[in-house]
Amino acid sequence: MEEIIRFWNTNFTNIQMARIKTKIKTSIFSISSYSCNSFIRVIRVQVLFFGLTVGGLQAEASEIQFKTLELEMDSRDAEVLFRKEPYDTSSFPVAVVDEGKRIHGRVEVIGQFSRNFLKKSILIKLDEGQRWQGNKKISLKSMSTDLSYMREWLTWNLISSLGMVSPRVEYYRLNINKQFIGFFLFIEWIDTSMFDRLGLGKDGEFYNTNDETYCGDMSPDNQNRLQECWAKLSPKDKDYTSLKKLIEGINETPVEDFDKFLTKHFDVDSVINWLVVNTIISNGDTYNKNYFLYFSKKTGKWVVIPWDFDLSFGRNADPVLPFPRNILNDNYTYFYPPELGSPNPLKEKTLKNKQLFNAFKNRISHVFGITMERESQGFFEKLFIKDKPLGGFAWFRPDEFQSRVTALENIVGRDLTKERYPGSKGEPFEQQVEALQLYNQWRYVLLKKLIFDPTPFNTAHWLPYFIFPPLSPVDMTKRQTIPLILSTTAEVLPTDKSVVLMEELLARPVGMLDIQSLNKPARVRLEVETERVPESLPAGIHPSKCIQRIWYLDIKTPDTILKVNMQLDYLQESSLHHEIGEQITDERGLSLWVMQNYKWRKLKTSINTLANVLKTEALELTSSDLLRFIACEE
Amino acid sequence: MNKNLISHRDAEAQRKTYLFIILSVSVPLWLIIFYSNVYASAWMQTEGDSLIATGTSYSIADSFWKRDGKLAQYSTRHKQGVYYLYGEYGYSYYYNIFASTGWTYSDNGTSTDSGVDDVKIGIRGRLNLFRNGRTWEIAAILPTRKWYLSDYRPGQGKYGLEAGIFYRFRPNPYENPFAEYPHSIWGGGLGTTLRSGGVGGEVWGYGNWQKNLFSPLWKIEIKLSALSSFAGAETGSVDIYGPNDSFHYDQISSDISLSYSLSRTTGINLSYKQDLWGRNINKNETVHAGIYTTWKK
Repeated sequence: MEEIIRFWNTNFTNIQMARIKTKIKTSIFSISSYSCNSFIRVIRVQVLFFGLTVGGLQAEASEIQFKTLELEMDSRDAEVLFRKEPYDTSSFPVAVVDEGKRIHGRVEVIGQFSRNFLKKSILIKLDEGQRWQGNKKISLKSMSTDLSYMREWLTWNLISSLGMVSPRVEYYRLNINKQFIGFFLFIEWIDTSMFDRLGLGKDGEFYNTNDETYCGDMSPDNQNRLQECWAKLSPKDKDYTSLKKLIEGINETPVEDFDKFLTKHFDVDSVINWLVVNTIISNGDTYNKNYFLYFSKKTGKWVVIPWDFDLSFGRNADPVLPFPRNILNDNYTYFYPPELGSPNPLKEKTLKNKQLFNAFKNRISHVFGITMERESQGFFEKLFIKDKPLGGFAWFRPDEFQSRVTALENIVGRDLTKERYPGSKGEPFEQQVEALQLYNQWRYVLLKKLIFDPTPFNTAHWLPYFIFPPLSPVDMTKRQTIPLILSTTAEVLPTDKSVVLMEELLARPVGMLDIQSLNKPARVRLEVETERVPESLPAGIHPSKCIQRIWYLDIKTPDTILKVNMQLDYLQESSLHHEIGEQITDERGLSLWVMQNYKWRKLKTSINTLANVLKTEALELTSSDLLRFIACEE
Repeated sequence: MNKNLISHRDAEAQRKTYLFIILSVSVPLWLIIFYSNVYASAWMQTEGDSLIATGTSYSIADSFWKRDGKLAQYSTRHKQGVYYLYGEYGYSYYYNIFASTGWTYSDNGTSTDSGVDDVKIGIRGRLNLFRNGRTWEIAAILPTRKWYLSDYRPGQGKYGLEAGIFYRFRPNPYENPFAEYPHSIWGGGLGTTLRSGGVGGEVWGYGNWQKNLFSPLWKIEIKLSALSSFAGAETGSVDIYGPNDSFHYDQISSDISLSYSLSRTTGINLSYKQDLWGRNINKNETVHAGIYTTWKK
């Protein structure tokens, strides 16, 4: 069974155009080697899209598809495949059933982390000469460490929308012997065949950062140990000359000339988009690993292909928790600056170069739906297509992002309980999805302010490498506290639907108000004392059972009555830097308390423990009130 | 600070992940029971994986237990040196094959004997389809020559058939994913050896206890093993010259061994074995040193 949800919100870029052309060529000249209904459907959608864009319309198309992959296996092997010991690498005979035809091969478990869960990622290697939709290998990611099931797909969707060189990525329902196993993500095997399919030729040089040495950071320190830091995947030889030359060039080129260097040696968009994607999804697990480089002899340029996005969209590793809790933890960070991750001169010089930094900002603005970028076009394209918008416009704008997430939630959530094998344990799916939406809601306003809005002193909120080093060395064994008082004010109109209360200097959102009713325009103030144990508490509640944050909300305009739903957040960046009281046993038991007229009152509170967001509804506030809030577990 | 945190996180995560993988995938030699040059294992190799182990042991016996369990001194020290070679291969997820042989030198103080030892070829399978550490084995023992000094191993040089089951009480890896092995793990095995010529037919068993020492790369194992013959039940004769394989024999031994993982695939092992009690059998002391390595096809 196949379900298709179409979103008319994504465009096609030059590279996608090249892909389409290649696909059309392939389908005409070798349709048998690329038999694929979905491909034909995609072509149809894209042709329709061209019809729309020629007319100057901005309709865009992409689709979320949930296809079904049917496998046949010996029933004992099918059980063993998922239930055997995590690090066993045995393979088993399998047949992929595709339109009644059986394509034979062997199936094995892949991945490292996900092996430790019953729902494992698997790889099907088809027998010599066999192909499934043009692929010799079928890689199915279990998504077992991301209980939202969305992080990887969303990131690949953004990457593909921006026109980056990327594999085909599709959701699949996996059935084995007609029994539903679970949702998996098919990610096309990244090899030279993929680059050939994308029009970059298969005779180029293909490198992957070594996942175990953490030194694929292009730094001068590591440019002479390339074999340790990089795996050359194709051609399979030990000649690293091209890569060495590239990295030396990156390190030797001054920042002011870096735009020329990048234009000469790189597909510039692939670098800009890489930084943009990592900024938006807050991916710090990269720049020294988790990316590929391909040098296309056809174009004479390098392209970057990002990889591995499980620690993204708020999820973050912990510096001190023991494995695996350093990865599987409750930390959540929407507030990291745009630039994060390991140092890397390609990243640093791109951001420091004026032209390239502007390109970065423009691309962010495009993905935020603030300003639209147009594709650069060739002579032929200019004749027929005018002002073709770049793909991915408004991709991260909350309305677009959240409708995409909701659509996925509707499909995945329906059959999630029918999955045969569980992944990692954690908060329910609904909480996971809500955390993604809250990430988008909070990070969108943060990045928008940091990157585009000036401070009250008319200076930039953020510039690349605008980093204040800590005054004293950070002790990684001790809890770190940086108490702040964040004061925000907002002018609220009766017609406003929602208001973000944002600290102006740090560009830090501290609360969100959904306006239910307001009798007149008003000035609302929210003040937050962070990383501080509340002193005044309701009777019977110990300070160690409370979040170490205090909020004060009031209205500065006389004779105002405001009714709002309110969101407040708290800090849980890592086990060393958080606001969780020592005696809090279960964050789900936290409630907001409000002090009004010198009396504490418990508020009906809903909490997203992943996103660390507390919500309360129907809060009434008059101009004579100063409301003090705390959050405690009883 | 964010960047610092993330960089630190990377390095730390790498170290911890690497260590975890070492612990999870390495096949410790100490799972392989060194008993009288016979290997038995509760561990199944993954399909296509191979293991080769080699090492040497040296045993001495200054006394023997008579049929009544009383200790009698030899007039001369009995000595035996063994160099062994062992290999196993993951034929499929469900079956492993293994083979072993060795070169043995024996000296009872008055005469010596040496040569290529019995060859053992066997098959190992899973008692539990999904879990490792629960295996059965069947092996054929093929003699290479006749041995004249077999007081260390009754039945040496005879055709034989061996069968056993082996168990290791490991936690379910999915109940608490990523959990390191608990501080100690218990295991055990039970089996029988049948031999031609009415000599060396035995039932045997062992129980062992294993624990990490110093760091997860080091392991210590303590083992108590026992065997009892069910062949050679003749009566009469005297036992002043040492064990006589025409008669029933029993033995209880203890082992202590120390293993160290040199890498993800290679480890070394040192052990000391002391016979604690017996009837009609030598009182041996044995030291052993071995090395193993594994590789994928």
